[in-house]
Amino acid sequence: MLEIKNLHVSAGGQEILRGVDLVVNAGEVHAIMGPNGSGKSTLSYVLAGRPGYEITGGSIHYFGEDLTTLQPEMRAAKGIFLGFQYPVEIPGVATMTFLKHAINAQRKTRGEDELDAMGVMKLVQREAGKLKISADMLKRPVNTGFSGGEKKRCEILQMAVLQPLLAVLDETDSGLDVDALRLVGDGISGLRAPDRAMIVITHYQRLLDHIVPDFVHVLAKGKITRSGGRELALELDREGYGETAPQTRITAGA
Amino acid sequence: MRHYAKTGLPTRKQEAWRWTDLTPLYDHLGKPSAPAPSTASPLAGPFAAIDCWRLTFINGVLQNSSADLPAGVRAISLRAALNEDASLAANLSAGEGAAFLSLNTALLNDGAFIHLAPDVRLLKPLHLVFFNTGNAQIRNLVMLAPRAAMTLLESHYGAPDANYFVNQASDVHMAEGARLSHYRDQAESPNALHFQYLNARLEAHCAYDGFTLTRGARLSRYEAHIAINGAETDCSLNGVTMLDGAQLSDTTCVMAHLAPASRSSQMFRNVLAGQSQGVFQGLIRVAKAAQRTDARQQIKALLLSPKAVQNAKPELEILADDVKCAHGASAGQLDEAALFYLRARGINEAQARALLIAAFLDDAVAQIRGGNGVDAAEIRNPLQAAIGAWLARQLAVTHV
Repeated sequence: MLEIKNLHVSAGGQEILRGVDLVVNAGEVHAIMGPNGSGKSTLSYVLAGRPGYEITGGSIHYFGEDLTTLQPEMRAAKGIFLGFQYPVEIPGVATMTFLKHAINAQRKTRGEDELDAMGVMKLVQREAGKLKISADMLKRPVNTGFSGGEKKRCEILQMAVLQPLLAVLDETDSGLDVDALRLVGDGISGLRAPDRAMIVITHYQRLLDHIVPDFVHVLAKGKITRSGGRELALELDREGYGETAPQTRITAGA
Repeated sequence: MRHYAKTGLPTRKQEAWRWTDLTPLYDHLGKPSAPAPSTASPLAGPFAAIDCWRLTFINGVLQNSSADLPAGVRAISLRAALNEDASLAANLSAGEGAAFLSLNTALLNDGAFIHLAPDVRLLKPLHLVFFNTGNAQIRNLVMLAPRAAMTLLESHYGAPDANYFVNQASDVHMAEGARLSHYRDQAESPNALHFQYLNARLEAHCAYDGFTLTRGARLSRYEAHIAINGAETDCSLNGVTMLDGAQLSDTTCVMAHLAPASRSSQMFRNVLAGQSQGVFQGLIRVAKAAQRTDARQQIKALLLSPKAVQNAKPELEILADDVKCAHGASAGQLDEAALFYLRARGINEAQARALLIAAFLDDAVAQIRGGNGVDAAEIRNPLQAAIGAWLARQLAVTHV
């Protein structure tokens, strides 16, 4: 599904990714762990197509297609979903309205019929219930005044209604207490499917108790330095990143 | 005319006009008005579908009468009213020192005279429709007796290819406890010059709720002078301005608090495309007697192109010591992080921009309070539709 080869990426004149290789197949869950500043978020932004990141080398192919030339909205319509570490507040746009726009924009791009207001409402309410998101919250402007936990639950709601093929979840566990973590973790876990892959970016192993990865990779200083199974996450949790990433500071990106 | 002869037209050397160049006006001076058509083009725009009493003016001349107005309400031509009772002229401000107002006073064609007797409440809006094809000096006089309440709508539009100069002044007198909702749509034809001077005097316990959607005319100025002359009065003055091409629009407000414990709020949102220019000058004046005043003013502009310009000059002049005053002015571009967030969900760039701009402008639209015979939604919804249509054109999207 996704094939990243020797990917080099710069932002603001500074090289952040320095030769990333990664292959993700349908149905797999990959965890990417690593210290702060190792380039984890940059990788997620590059996959989603955020402006401001320059690919200076290597390639990204998604279902065999060069991903790097596609606009973010096109990538979304083709099934790529980015769960933001810091979901953006959009005052003045109600969450339900936003979801309706997003669902129908993707359907339209794919040449599918748009859903009417009732269809959107039913779909959203079904998924919102599982994440304990109230009807009141759906009326509020996108992420505006939401708590950290509400924002992350809302990200997972978006993923649930948009039904992506490749979900890249950037530190979805950050800022969550134990209860919120369980809700979000179970939410993500419930979206595992044979035709859907996930890249779960996290700093800690605790989210991986809820969503057990097939592969764990360590990203350090812009490269994948180790790969392994579930046990690698547990080892990192016990022993830290010390061995794999010497205490060098990389300030740009995050 | 004496005042006008003395002052002449203002130039950019005068502080109150430093950003608004009046050169386009010189072509119009001294030229007679073109013959007026006998009927106006069909009314379009946000207020067209609202159930209300309508008076239509062509180049400032009243075309119809509204016979079914309830008792205690008068809505007739100002000329007719002055013929009946010359003493009404005392309620028209002469315009000393204000060139456009004195020009209007000297040359006025006609306009509306609206009077509500004490305690009269209009159950649906009164709509003044101003259709213009040639130069016009229009004067309105609105007098609300104690506790009278109404919604006054104004639509300003013209023949699409007409090149004209409209100079309109309105004197609004609100006696104690009167309530006025005053919503305007300025959609003059693209070559027009539109000047609007509002002179309002509010006594105690009044509520004035004003909103202007500015989208028409090559050059326009909305100048509001509001004197809050009584205690416990609420004055809200808001607007959205959408400009493109070489349009220039100037909003100049003087909010004078002359009595204690009154509140005023102003919220303006501008969106500027092309090489357009927005001007905002806002003075809040709090007299020594106006203790416990609460006055707010905020202007924000979104610049959609590198050549668009917003000038803003918020000013406070406070002589009382127990007051709450806040003002803010900003101009900038769309939030790139928000734009990417929407695009990452599959919403294309143009549509994402349209959504964000509409939300930005909605801050001001949401200030519309309604009441006085009309629901807020009845006014807000069609204004939002007009804003959406402009954005859709601007960004080449199908709907907003």
